Amino acid sequence: MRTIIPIIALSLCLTTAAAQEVKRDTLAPAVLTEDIRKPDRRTRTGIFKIEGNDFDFKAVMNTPDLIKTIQMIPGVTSGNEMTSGMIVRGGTGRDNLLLLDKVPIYQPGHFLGIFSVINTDMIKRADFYKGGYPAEFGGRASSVLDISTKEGDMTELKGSYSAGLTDGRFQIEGPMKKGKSSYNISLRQSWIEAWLRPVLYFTNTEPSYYSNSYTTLGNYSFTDLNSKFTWIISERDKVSLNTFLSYDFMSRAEKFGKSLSKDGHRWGNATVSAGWEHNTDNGTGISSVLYVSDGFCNMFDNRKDFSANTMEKERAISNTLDIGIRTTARKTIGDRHNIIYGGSSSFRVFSPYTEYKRYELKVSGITGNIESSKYTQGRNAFEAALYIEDEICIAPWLTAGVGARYILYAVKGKVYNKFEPRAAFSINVMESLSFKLSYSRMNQFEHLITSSTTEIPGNFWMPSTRYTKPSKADQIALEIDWRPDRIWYFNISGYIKKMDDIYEYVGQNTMTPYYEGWENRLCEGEGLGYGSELYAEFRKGKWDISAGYTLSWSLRHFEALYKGWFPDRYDNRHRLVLNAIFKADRLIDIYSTWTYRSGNRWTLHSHYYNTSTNGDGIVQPSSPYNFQFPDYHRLDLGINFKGKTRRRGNGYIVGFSVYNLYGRKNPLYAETIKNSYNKMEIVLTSVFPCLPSFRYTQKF
Amino acid sequence: MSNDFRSCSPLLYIIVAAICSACNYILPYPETGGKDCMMLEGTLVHNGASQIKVTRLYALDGNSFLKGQEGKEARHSDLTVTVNGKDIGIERMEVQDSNLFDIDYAFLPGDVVRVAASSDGLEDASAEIIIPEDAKLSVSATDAVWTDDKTIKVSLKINDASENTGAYALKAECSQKITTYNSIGKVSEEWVTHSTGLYPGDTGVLSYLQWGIASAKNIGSNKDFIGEIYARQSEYEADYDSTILTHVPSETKVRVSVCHLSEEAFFWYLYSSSQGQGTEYGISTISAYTNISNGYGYIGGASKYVSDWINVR
Repeated sequence: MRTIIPIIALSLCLTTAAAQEVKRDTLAPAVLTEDIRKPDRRTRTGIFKIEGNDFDFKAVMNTPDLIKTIQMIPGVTSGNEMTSGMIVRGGTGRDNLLLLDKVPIYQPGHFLGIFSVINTDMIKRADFYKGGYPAEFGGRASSVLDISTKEGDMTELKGSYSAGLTDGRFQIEGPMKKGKSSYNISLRQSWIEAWLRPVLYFTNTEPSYYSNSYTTLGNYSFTDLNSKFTWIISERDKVSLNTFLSYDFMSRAEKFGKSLSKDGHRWGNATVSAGWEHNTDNGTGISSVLYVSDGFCNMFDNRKDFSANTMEKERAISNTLDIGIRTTARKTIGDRHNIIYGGSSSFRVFSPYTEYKRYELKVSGITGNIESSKYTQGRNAFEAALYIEDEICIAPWLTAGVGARYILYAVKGKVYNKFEPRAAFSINVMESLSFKLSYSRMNQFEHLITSSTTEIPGNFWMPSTRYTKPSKADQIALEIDWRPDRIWYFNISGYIKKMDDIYEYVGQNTMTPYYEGWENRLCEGEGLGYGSELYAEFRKGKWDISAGYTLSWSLRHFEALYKGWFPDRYDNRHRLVLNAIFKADRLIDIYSTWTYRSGNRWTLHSHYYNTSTNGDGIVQPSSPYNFQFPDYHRLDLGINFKGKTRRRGNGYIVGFSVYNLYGRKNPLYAETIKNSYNKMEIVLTSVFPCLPSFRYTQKF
Repeated sequence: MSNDFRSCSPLLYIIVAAICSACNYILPYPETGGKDCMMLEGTLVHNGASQIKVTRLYALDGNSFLKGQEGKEARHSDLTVTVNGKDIGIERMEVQDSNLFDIDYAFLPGDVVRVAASSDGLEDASAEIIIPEDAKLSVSATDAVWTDDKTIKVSLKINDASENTGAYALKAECSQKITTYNSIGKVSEEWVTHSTGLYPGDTGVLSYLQWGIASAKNIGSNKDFIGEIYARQSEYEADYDSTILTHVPSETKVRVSVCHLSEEAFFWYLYSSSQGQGTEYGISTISAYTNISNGYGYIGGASKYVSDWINVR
């Protein structure tokens, strides 16, 4: 936080200075300029390209969010409501690669995943692959989200600031040396705590019988800081320096009499990367990046007893450190070959738990360190990959993309060598209609160890080991792409994905998984996902309407859990997203999204036994995920008012939106209880009722 | 400490609930039309005594009452165990809620064991397993030192030369020579043994497997385990109401037990370790493992190895 404050101050000064000089119409950039759904005209299937300005109409609670935008794509679901999870084509949700300027990000969500860590102000473009993966990418079994951040404007200073119910954002960019170098800095800060603290104070203070009141206070905040500095070295060389910090802080303080205890978590990501882009004499474009990425979680527990002058401090740190380099070259040979090749290597340190303890006794103002200890355990891994891919124009109506990726993954006591073939074909029946077919294999060498379905800081990444194998996914996809005219667009796809060596945590049912003996608590299995997806778009005049429908099956087979195949928790058979944007005039946009999907699944017990002590004992489910929640659906509605400020003519947007307009109680989780008649009932809990929100954004 | 931190995580949900005014609603339990059946539980130990428990399971659906089932337990169940097609005699030891059968038989590796249970009003249930191969274990403890005044760390190297698959369980036992004195002098001297798990704090499984912690995949397919286990000494308190004043431990030694579990026993361990705890906040018990036909539970196999006593420095 100390580093953030000077940057904010500097940015504010620059903003003020710039605002005095510049007066112009800045409204235009806020308008949606590109389709969310852009079909790739080449061989690739299952790719979606999202541009930086596409988020204004996909905002949840008026907070633009990349992951929430992707969750609207057919074949992708969020899993739990409001989270940044991505369950892609029957995947596990732990098998998505998130790259920010080619740097892997290990903690993708804030606040139980309700907000993703990617600040949309910085996004230049995001390519999302749910099938037909380029050979350049690997390391996760289900999807790749490749995000490029914006370079700062090389000619003039500009930026934006925004304030909503939950957070505020500030972004500024401009030249360091006109035409030669630029910066782009963005900050997002939550202020949830401003209204959370008083709520918790009044709800959690209890008077005690012994005159000491018992008080529990809670605190939560998150911060995102992105920066990108770019230098044009020559006509053929450009270098950049990128940093990214996402930081969550959550704490709880309990005060009872003269004792005070405070515990909590700090978690997030910190990345630094240096990029270099070079064009050679023969037309080859080379891009390289050297990076350090750290996904961290720091848990602390401090206890003070003022009467005894003692203080205990305990701290546990979980870390995933990734230091890597990757180089990719692109070359076009003639008018038939488009070749991409390169390599990458990285060294990763997985430290799920490092514990520090300290016990102090203060006597007469002198602090004595009575006890201090450190306990740690971790694994290291090394990965190297080589890849090549050629997109060949065989005939005007036939294009083939053939590639391969070789990976060496080494951990203590085990070296894995994996080969991943990638192939895709596109038959262009006519200018507006094409058929595509692709096959790809992906291996995942790291496993997220999690005992719940929510993104919480206690989850940790671990590498494949001698006993925990890399996961593997083979996918075949077929796609029909048809744009009959400028108004309509249709995309129909079908896929089948087989996953092997996937893992499920079956340890004790705690909120966070146990790091001790984590390999023993994983059971190995396989998965199968198949289905079809339909996307249709209508764009004419003031209307922009799209519909995405998914019919899918997601199955699992874990010998240790059940003898046969069973549906996955997120086996949502039907899913429909309807999106409508009405641009009433130049100053008002109205947008609405209706989301429907079959309910998630849950395991319900089918038998129980009596014991002599408490009447009913441990019960047994007949099969995993044998109960389906009621269908999920909700309607979101928003309106944006646009205008210009009187003094400077800066463009602004005032947005109002309502999440879950008709207050549908969509269950997030369930419990079983015994009612007063000794009968079992299911209690469903929904936590996101009708939520109105607003946001003010101004660009300068 | 880790448990303290874990208790912090529900705060996340408290916050969400506070913000969003969480609301609950109730659904009736689905009427599955399931039938009552039997649950069999037992690990047939190659070189030790075995027991099988037979319990009646009641179907749970919207019409089930969780009380008032007294008298319907599977009191009069019968159990038949055949080894390679040959019936063996078993001893029945009835308890209130279930039937417990003692099996005093020396199973051999590779024995095909079929267990069949019958009970009044219930469908017959059965299971068939193969007794796992003996673990050809060599256990060398390279070190045994105190890590604090109550915990002993033993560094182990275990190798299984057999072709076993499946899982292993380990436990450590700590034995201390305790000399007890009163005001007059030495009263007694005895060795007191205390069993514990693979690592401090992980004691939840002890009650299930009865004899140890299942830590299966630490000894993997290539049968090498190099790691540490922890033993804890027993704690004593002075008995001030008598003349006994002090207990002085003079020597400490540990030994290690390693058990090769069949796949069924290990899968049931996974199942049981995920049961009986919270199912809230999106945590869902998903294991429904059983190898019983027409019933639930498991019949597994095991073989056991016990090391020599190792003196602690």
